[in-house]
Amino acid sequence: MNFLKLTRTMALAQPRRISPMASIAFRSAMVPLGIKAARFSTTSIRSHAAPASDNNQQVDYSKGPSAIDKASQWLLLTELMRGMWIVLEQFFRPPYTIYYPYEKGALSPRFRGEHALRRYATGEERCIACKLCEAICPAQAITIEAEPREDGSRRTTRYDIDMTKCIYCGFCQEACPVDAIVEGPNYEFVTETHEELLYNKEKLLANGDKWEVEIARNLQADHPYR
Amino acid sequence: MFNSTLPAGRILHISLRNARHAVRYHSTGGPGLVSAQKFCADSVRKNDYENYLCIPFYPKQVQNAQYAIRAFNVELASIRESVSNAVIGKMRTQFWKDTIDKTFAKNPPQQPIALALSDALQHASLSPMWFKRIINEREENLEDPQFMTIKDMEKYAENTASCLLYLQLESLNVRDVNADHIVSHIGKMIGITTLLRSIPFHASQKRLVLPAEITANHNIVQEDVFRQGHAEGLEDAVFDVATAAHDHLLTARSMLKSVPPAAMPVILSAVIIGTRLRFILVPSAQYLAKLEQHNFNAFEPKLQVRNWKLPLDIWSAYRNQTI
Repeated sequence: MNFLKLTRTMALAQPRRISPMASIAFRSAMVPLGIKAARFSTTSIRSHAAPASDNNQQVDYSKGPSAIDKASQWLLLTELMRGMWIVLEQFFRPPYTIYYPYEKGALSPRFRGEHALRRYATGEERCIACKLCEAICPAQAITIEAEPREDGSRRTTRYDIDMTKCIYCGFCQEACPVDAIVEGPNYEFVTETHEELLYNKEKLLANGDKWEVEIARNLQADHPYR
Repeated sequence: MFNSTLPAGRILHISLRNARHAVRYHSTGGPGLVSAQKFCADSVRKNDYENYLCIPFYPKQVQNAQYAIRAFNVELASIRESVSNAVIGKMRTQFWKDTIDKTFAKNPPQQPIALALSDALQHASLSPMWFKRIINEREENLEDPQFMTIKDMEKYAENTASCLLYLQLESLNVRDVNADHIVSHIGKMIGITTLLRSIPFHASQKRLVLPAEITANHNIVQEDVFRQGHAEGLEDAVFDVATAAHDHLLTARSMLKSVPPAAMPVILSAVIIGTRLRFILVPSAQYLAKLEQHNFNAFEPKLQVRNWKLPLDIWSAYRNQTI
């Protein structure tokens, strides 16, 4: 707080050589005053007992602010005013807080939130049931069953993720060669029951449809260089 | 995006019920194939813009094959940056090996690049060897081994960039030793230039792509490159590597001139190389020239700016038949 260096606290004043008796009398008179002044200061208070060898150290009042200066600073509450000035400065600065449900903090494009199954722009689902995500999942949270469709293409008939088993490591997203399963930017998917967190394919595809814009942009943010 | 009858916003919110009637990819052509080819073109446009600019100079009937080959490259090249450890990357490369096998067995998986490649195979006889070689080299590169010598760098470039050019030559139905030889040099030059261009990116990932032999010669402290983005002697090392790339460029140029005009088939292939492949060089050659302008400081931000005159330069290189 004492950033303008207008004052020095009394406890920090320079030593001066006077007689021992006068020194003790002076200290006993000035210490409460020093503590009082230091209360408004952000510099550390030195009110601890001085070492024995320091007993002869005296304060040199010929240097530094005069007694009138110090008295006027103390009486006119200048440090208090400076403190209030800092409060005023903060008043005009933008707040550090955000109104959470309405306002959200910045997320990294690599944030790993709720899972989603993506589609191609034609509406066809990307997943081709290669089961790499199922194989890599360290928590064994993914269950896939697949069979060929009438047109011969291999697709999943069942794609379940147990969101309570998932540890959000992102390996499923990394292993997916067609960018089908991704961990999107959504982190607000609390439910009241455990069963609601056992996601099936419909839920995951719906997530993908809902978050496609954000997911596509996040994938775009990382750029190949080989 | 692919289906022009629906606005983009609508497509994103296709519910599951609508999706059942949505367009599916079919290996036998039709709307699925068109959208698969569109997917490839989009992928190249977003991730490999320079080659996207080159593709319109190919004959109309093989352009889709070029998009498919380039999109395949984009997928393979982006594997390393999208996985956190090599094991997961190997799963992905294994998927691509299987995909290439199945595509050549006329049973491609329902993946747009595989479908586009399978369609390209009906128009041109591409050999699976080049695809496999690209995948294998990328797989070895997943572990981020540091190149020991410039030879290692050239081997990497040969197995990635050159193989792509061999495939593009095959798609044009050019089978000529001289053509392959020139393309080999061009590919090495492109591969090395790509690595030089990505020095700032790799440094941000705590990797140094310059060969150990060169960095040792110039006493470069890796940690300085990572922390300060610059180290004593880095320009000299970059100069050495860029010189190796430039040598390949000069070799390719001299070989273009030395093609004997009497030999008709060679001239034909030379003309094809001249007309179809010279412009591939332009972006990389321009990078080398710019690097020289900035005193071989690979961290110069101006080097990363896309050249707005590039389409014009590619077109004039195509017209004047010069590299």
